[in-house]
Amino acid sequence: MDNRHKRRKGFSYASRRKIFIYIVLSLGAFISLIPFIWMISTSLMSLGEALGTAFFPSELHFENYAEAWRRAQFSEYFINSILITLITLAGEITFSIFAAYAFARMEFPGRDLIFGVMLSTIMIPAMVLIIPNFLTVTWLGRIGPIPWINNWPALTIPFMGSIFSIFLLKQFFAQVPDELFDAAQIDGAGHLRFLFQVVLPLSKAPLMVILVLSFIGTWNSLAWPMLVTNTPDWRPISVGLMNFVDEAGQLVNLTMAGAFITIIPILVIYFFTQRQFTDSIARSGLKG
Amino acid sequence: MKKFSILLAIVMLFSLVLAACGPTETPPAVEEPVVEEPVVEEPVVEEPEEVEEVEEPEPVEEAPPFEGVTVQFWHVYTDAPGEALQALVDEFNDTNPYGITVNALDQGRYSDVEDKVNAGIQSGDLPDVVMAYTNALADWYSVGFIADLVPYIDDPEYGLNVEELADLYPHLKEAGSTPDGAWIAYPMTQSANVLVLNYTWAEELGFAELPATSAELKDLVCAAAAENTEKGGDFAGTGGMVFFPNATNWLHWLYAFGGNELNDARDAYDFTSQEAIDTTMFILDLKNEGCVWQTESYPNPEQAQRKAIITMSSTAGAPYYAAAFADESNADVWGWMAAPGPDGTLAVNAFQQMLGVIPSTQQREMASWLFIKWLTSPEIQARWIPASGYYGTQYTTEAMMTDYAAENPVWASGVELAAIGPSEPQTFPAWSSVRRTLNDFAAELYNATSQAEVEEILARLTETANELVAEVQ
Repeated sequence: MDNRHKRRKGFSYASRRKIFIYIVLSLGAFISLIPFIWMISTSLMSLGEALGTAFFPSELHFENYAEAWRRAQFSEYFINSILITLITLAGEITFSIFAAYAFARMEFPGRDLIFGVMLSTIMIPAMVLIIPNFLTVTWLGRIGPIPWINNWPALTIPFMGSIFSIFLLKQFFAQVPDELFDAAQIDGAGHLRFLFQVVLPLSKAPLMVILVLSFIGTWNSLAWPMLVTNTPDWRPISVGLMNFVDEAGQLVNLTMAGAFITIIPILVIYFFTQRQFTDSIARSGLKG
Repeated sequence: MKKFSILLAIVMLFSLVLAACGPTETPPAVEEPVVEEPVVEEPVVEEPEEVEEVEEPEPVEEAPPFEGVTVQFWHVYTDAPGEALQALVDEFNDTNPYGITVNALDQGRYSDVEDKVNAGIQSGDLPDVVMAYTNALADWYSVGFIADLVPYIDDPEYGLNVEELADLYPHLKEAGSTPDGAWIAYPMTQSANVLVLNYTWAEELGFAELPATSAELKDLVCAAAAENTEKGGDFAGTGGMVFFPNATNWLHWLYAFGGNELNDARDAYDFTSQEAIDTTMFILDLKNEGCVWQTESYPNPEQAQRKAIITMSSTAGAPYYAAAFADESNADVWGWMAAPGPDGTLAVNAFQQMLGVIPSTQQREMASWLFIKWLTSPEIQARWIPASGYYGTQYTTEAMMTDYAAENPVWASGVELAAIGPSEPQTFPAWSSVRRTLNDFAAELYNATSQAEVEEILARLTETANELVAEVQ
């Protein structure tokens, strides 16, 4: 009886602890949600209300979304963003997989030196690279068969070689036991078959990480697209948001409505990949 | 596992297909103006297919001197102003007698234009006409990437005559000219940092007329502050003038006090003048008496709530004030006014939406100037103002805007102010850097506790500014 009572007391303490942890976590979640709630709330205000300190709208202005869509030319920019993101993602994943596999599992002269040099470029701030990258894409457009400036190559190709993605995959590929490669070789598999049939299925987790991070980065990019485009033909959705800012202020309500529209695809991607992402991590452990 | 491999293969294949299916032609609007040589169309003489008789060749009309020249124009306007500007450009393309075609391209904000021109200076991809702030044009001029417009403005055939030059507001030539006399920035329109006054409230406080001097202005803002202190609650500590200590606002008051940023010889920065000291002491006096205060963000709502009788804003901020007053259902009459100095000098801090020409061939530069001349002519400017909300640059334009002014009283309250100026010395060496420094010093000045401290800060500011000039030179 006493033991049972003690156990109940112990369980009760654990429950209290758990409740406390849940409260702290809920509070943290709520705090991190506040900007999101503020964005939605402001997107439904009149301009005058949005300029003030109100947190919730006194009247819901759903028409802000239609106006934001029209004034930001989202119907045009949305398609551009989808194309730019798909091309960039496809290229980045393709090149990263092959580069990472070569660095992780193939022997060739200067491999570690080349990887080290590539890795060191992570330290260079992105803004410093803007002008050199701009000069490179301008030059490539002049000598190549298709123009790069104001076209998809300038918007996508510079981001297909991501050293972060290569590094992440390389670390993962290097963990695949040599025994698996030996076994595959005995079965007649070469590097390509081993990569596609053994390594990649075991590497869903880092691939999902790359997919999500690259999607967010590409979808939200602004400075580079503005630099390499002269017309709306290939400008992405983030450019549309700038229509609400002028020298004297910002149409805050429309900016927030536009911002919410632009993040919908990111939310959708995250929603669909979250489960797969965690599943992949759980299932990617190798047993000896 | 198998499904995943297939999915991955599809993604890779998709990338290749997209790459292969991409457009292989230059998008229609992209041009490379610098590389492109000015094209003068040769009269096409077609070979007759079957010549039976030798016909007299028809006299070929001489092509206009700029026939076939395409001018690329980078600007910052989107949405309704962008559409209005494009309509004007289309009209120019259809009607100009020179055969010039202008390709107007919106390039985002002013900062985006600056980034693009800076990159273009390296790559050679530059427009012919660029809209920018004067300091940016001055920076590019210093490295040879903005043309001096004097030869084109003075051109006997295509330039401006004496009357047209005299029609321009007096401060604008100086605002767009460098100390060495080159005219590098031509004003398309103007906006200005002004005082926003609640006329109705001022009248209720017994100030039926606009304050004519800084002393009268002090009486007004302190009376409003006293009224709100009496109200108490949320209103305590409010009511006077909202003043943010930054370069724009401090310079605005400096101009009203008759000062400027340069020494008498106008060859170096000098912020140690008596006017600069008086300006700062005036602001500190208002602060110490509780007649100025600061808001967390733009003070539009506070002014609409009668928590500030005067705020400082760009005239481009009119829609935000209108929205704030509408949201508060406040029917008070409000509008712009100039800052008054101790002797009644009136001043605003005027900014221009400047146009600059990128150096190329003489023909292209002249074609660019002809477009600028047309775009800034009074008739065209008078049509552009309602779409943009800016102010004109010429007396003749002002006279054409009477109907618009009658419909837009707030805009009308700024018409005379736009002609006053002055403007910051944006073409003086290192002004961009000095201005950034001035923002920090203005905050320091606002926290000064004595005149001696003010003088010491101003001396340091002068020294720092001239060091920045030395660095540039």
